Amino acid sequence: MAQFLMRGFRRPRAVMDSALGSLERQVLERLWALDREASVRELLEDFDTLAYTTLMTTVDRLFKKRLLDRRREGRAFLYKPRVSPEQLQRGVAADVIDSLLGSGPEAARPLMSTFIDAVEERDGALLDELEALIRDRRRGRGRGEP
Amino acid sequence: MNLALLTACTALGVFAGVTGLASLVAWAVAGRWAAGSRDAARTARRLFALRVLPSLMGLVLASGLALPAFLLFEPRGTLETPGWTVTVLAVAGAIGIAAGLRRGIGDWWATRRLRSQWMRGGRPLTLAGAPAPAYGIRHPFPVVSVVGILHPRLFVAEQVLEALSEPELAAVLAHETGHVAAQDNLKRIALRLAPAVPWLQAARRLEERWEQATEEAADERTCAGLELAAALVKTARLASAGSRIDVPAAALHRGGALARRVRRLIEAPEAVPPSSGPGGWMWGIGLAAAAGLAWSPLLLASVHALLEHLVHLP
Repeated sequence: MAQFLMRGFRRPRAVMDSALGSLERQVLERLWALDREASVRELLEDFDTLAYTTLMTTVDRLFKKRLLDRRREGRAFLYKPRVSPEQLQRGVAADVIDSLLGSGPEAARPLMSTFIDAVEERDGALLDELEALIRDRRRGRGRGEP
Repeated sequence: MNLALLTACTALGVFAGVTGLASLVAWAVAGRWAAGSRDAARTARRLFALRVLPSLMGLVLASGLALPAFLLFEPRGTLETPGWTVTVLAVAGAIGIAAGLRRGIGDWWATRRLRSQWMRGGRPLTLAGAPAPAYGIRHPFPVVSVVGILHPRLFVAEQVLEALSEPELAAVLAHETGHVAAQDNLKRIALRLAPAVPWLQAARRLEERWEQATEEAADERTCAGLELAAALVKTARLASAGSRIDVPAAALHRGGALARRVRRLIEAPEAVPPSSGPGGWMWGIGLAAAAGLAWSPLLLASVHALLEHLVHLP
């Protein structure tokens, strides 16, 4: 079966792994496996060689990377993944493809027509003048002028 | 060098040589020829042809003449090695084609992403006169945009829907219908696929002028100039000065044309719909005649003899 390889001939999964620390990845995988909210203390049961504060810091880092949602229950926070493993891999793959497609004038750009795509600083001063011109023309049209 | 490699090298060399020379001629006449018309649609068609025809000529001559001539008349067991001229041209041709394909694939990808993203966050709209299924979106910039080629979608920012009067919105929709009717997004990908050989900046300038002409042509198609002018001013007021739509399309700057467009619309508010281009039958006859000529053995033998000289250039 053909495999999807990119960026230094690595798979999206490998790219994702390098974007997350090893412990972050393990915590995320544990939460995906649990498929429910869990507190740091509950997670600690699966990471018994770690200190509570180390696990707490890792979970917090995942929360700040917007990979986890959390809600307070009593004095503790309950965490759950914001994205599925497939969503994360798809997102990483899309980002890598974007970066491969370059930046600057040669970057990929959507095929779109836009009514207005930019308003320059100096355009601001012109708008009043243009509006007055339109008003005059409309008034003229109302009086039957060509 | 074996026959396949020599043939590929020669065909790529012919492609780059023809495209490069034809582009130089096109850029030399672009100023006078394209500016000679007051009809924006005609100007847009001319600029598009000037940008795309050189690559098309290169492609047709390389694949329709050089390739068959070489395959028919070059001895199978050839051990010829091309000179530097053809090698350099072949490398330039290969780079040009690869860069064009990269841009084309990239644009297709970016279009898909943007369309899905805006459709996900948007709400379907029922707009009479819309050229494609329409969606209202929340966006900091006053977006009015048709995205895509095969399954285009119209996206309108909510603040634009609120700000414009009914006749103004109808004029804007007629403007966007003009873009769809002229197949401007399809032309955009053709422009991006066409290699910018030999001078990238000149090709980009031509594309910017084409973008401006297409906007003016779509303006002219509305036949409701004052309403459209008012819509342009109102929409522009919704954007803060110095801002631009934050998608990569804006990398190709078209902003400075705002005042020019409004003035054109005010001066000729009830513009006549623009002329159409030459009929498809004319292109058909031209292509059939070219194909008939290309496949005459006498011509192919002469082309092969000419290519032999080219291959042996130092």
